Amino acid sequence: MFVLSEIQDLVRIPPHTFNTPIHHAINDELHKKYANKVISNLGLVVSVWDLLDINDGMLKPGDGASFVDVKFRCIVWKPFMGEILTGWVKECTAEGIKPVELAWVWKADEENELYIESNEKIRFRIEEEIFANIKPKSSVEASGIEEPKNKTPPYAIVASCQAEGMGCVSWWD
Amino acid sequence: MKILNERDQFLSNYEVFEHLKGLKSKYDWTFTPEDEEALKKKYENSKHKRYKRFTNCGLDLEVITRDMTEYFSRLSSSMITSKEGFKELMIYLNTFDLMKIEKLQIVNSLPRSMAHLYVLVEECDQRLDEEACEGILQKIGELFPSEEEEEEEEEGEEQQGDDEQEIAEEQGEEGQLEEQADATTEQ
Repeated sequence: MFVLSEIQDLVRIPPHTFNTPIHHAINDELHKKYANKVISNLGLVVSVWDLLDINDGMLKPGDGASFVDVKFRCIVWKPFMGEILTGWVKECTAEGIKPVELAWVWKADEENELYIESNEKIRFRIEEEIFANIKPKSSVEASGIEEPKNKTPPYAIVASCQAEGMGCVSWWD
Repeated sequence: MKILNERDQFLSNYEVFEHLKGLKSKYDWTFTPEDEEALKKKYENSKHKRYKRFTNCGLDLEVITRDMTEYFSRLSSSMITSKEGFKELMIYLNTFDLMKIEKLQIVNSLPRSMAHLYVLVEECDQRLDEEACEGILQKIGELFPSEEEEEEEEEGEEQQGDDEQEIAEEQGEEGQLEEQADATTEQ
């Protein structure tokens, strides 16, 4: 589910954008900084919705850019506990339910076996959300020379299909 | 950075989808061959042949716009095509005693079966009688007729596409093998 969050931030407007209208330049800078990023304990920012307040620009000695204090609202994707979402199965792993032929099996009764396969439309309920800190561990990583191997996602969601009406959409239609 | 208000307002999928579509057309981004065709047509009669797609707002916005529009267009909420339909459904839902969040979820996922509706509304069987439930389902079916048949066809096409890819890959591998064989004979 999407919410609008109100954020205040100091934006650096580089000198080469001084000729464009200020709200265009601010929008671009905000998108550069926030779009497709996860804010810890808030959610995934999609894009800027609108600008609420633009203060006068400030200067810093030794820098040609102006710094503008902005209040804006942005679209944030943050599901709440117990929300029902629909998605597509990307991958099935051994964690959780017993995997058979790379598919999850739900034994509804002795005769019927229902499979959850990859790329199938699935409905689930949000149980838990996990924000991980993914600061680079060494200077090599920070400069982008070496990519860490097992990256934990900055924002993970644990969901369950253990209720009536959940699971593959095709089961219930 | 300071977060002033975490949850100022809720947005429905439809509103976010419209916002992203606005961004997409503003910057002339194309994500599929069909988009490309449409864009060419749009600029056929205008004097400015230059696309505006190179912007200052960074790649991340384009990436998330692409991913979200793809996700939304596969979801059932993409069936809402006009503001009028959206409004009518909301007005109809307001006649029931439902929480704001439940109405939002109904609008987002447009339930077509009783099982789906029961999942979205907590303690549905006690709060709503069967007539009300059926009324909601009927209203949804009326306003946004489902396109299940078309979806099935699309799925079939997708599978075909996959097959073709596989075949192409196999051919590619064979080609390599042949080249290797040629190389060995020359030696």
